Amino acid sequence: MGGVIVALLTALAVAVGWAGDIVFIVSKDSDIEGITLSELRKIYLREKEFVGGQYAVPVNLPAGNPIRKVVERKVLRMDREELELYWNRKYLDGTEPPVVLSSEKAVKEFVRKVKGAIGYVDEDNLEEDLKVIYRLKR
Amino acid sequence: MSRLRKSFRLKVTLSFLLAGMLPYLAFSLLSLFQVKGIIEEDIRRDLRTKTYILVHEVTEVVQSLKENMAHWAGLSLMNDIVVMDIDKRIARFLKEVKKDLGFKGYIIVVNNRSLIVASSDAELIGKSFSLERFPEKKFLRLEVPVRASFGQKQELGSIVLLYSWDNFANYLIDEEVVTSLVNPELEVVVGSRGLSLKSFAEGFGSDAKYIYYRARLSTAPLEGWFLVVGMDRDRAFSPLYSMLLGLGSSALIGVVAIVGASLFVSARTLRSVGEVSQTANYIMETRDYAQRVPVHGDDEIAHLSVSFNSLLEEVQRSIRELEEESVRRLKLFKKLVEIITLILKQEDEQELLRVAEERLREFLGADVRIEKGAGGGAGYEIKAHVFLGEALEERVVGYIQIGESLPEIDEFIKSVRDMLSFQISRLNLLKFQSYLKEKAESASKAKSLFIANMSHELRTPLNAIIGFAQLISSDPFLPDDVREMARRIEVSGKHLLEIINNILDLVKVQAEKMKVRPQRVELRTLIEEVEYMLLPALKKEGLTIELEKPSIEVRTDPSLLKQILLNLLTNAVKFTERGSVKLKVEKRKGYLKFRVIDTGIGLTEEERSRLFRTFEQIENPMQKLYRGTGLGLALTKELVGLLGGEIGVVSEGKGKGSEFWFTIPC
Repeated sequence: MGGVIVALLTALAVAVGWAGDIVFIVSKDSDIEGITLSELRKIYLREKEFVGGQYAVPVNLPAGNPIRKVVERKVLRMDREELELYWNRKYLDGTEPPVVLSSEKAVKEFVRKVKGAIGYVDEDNLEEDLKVIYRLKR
Repeated sequence: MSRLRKSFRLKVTLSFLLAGMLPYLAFSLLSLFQVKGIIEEDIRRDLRTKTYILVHEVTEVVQSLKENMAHWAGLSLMNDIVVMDIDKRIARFLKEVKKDLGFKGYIIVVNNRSLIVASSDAELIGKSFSLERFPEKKFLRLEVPVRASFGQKQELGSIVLLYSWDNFANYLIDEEVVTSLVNPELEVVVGSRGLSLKSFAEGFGSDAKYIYYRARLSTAPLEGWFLVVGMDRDRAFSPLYSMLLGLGSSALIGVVAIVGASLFVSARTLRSVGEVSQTANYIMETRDYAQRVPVHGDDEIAHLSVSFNSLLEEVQRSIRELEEESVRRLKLFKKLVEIITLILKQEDEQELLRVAEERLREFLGADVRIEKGAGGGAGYEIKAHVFLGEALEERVVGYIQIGESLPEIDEFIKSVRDMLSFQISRLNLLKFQSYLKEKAESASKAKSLFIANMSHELRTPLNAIIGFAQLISSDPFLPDDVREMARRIEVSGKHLLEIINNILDLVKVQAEKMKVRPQRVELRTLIEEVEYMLLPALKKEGLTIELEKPSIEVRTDPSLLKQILLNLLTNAVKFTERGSVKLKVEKRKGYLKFRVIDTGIGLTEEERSRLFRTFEQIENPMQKLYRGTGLGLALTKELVGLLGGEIGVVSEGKGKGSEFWFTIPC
């Protein structure tokens, strides 16, 4: 099943021109060195706020972004419908979904500026002053 | 003007006007004041209401802006401040919002370092935000902080809305009222201008053009601003003006109606009065008393006309009677004058009475008679002065008897009677006068004749005496004393002869026996003859004689002129001891003037006045020295009178000489 998906995604990625993996990034001088997928999932679902004593600020790309779709499927393991239901419920508790930034560039800038910010970008767009804490294979 | 004051119509009209218009004016004024109060109250309420509405609106605008901004601040896209709005999401949003709101001004997003991260207007992005760029005078500045929607929600920056004050102009109205938003401190006025910025305080106020209300805004950030609503005075009070116009025009209509009504009424009343006065004037001008006033109706004014007509009737009747009476009197008077004229013409007493009787009978009727004589008659007694041989005596000469004596002709008869008395007296007086004159003249003539005859009788023996005395005095054989005595007889005789000659001449003149025989006379020759005749008398020592002898021809009696000159010159020589005697002749207009001037004893005024009278001679201590009868000058005066001239004397006084002058016509 997983193989099929990877195969499909790879095919898709090849089809749209993306070749690299998806990397989750933090600022270079962040205390966070690495993270598990499960931790990542909890942070993006705002179930976990701190990573190693640091308040985590997850950053999303806009809703229709293909990278975000991959992240939702692979990390959150929820489809659109499930996510909406989830956030509606969370919203009532006073928890807002992660900050949405409109581009990878903005994400990179945000991660640089905000302490504890965690974002994701295509590996190809990675820059030196950013630290990869998790790599998601396509 | 005074005629106007006297006009009845004017008085009536003014009274009506006063009675009609005074209450109306009082009511109008009261109403105007009340309406003014109501209007003012209305205006105040209106202004206040409008002001509060506007204050509310303005506050609402700001409030709504603030709310909007709060909403924007909560949007998650504001997190992009962190990434300097790298994807221009905020900028797009702001641009969109500004477009939606449609106002003048800017919306900007500023980060914590006062850097403009995003703006509704692209040119501002990246610039630093400062108040100088957006002065308070131009913009209302609203600011809302933006907090991160993540993490501990730290402040990321703020949204600043720069809202141009001009935007408020859209909410201010400018129709019935003028409104403005004013900040006196900043000296900003939005909306209607023309409202003074000075002494700004809340409440009502007014200036030359407006009545206004000012409300201070109290909600942030509008503290310090005032909202002013003003109303044009003329416009505000226009109801009052239209009411005034209404009152004025109705007052005008009232005045016209009152004047019209009173003129109508007074014209009706005055018609009859006017007719009465017109008729009176007409009668005064034309004397036509037959004129009458027409009578209208039966009121008090009509009674006036009736009474006036009755008065005219009476006056007309009286005038007719007066005219008849005066005609009768004039006739009587004419007759009287006629009779008096006739009476005055009569020269004979008996004829006079007869004619008078005839005329009176003719005029008054057959029963008039004039009884002559004093014998006890009845009627009007005629008394007159009657000449009775020697004197006048008053007595009754007759009676006018009349059958029936009427009081009207009583005075007439008396006048005729008085006239008869007068004429009879006059005739008698004339008789008496001529009697007296005759008597006097015959006496005078007799005296003159007697003296003339006497002079002749006297002169004849005197000539004999003088002749014999001359003979004796010139006989050398007679003793000296005898001759001296004879000489004295001769001198005295000559003197006496002279006196007698003078008396004779004087009497001749007075008895009108002296005849004047005028002829052409050469004056020079005449005076030379006089000089020759004077020669014996002129041989007096210390006396010079100068006679002027002009060559003038004159028509006069030469012998009389010669005698006048001789008399005056002799006289002058006689009374002049030493000095000179001069004769001067001057031709004047219409007469010749002779002047005999001496340096003799002169005359006093009193003496001068007595001179020229018969038998008058100057009385003085030297009387014995100057012999004379005084007849000379009297005679001279008579002679000058015969020649038709005048004589007179001038003297400076006693001892200062004298000048005798006389004139003769030429």
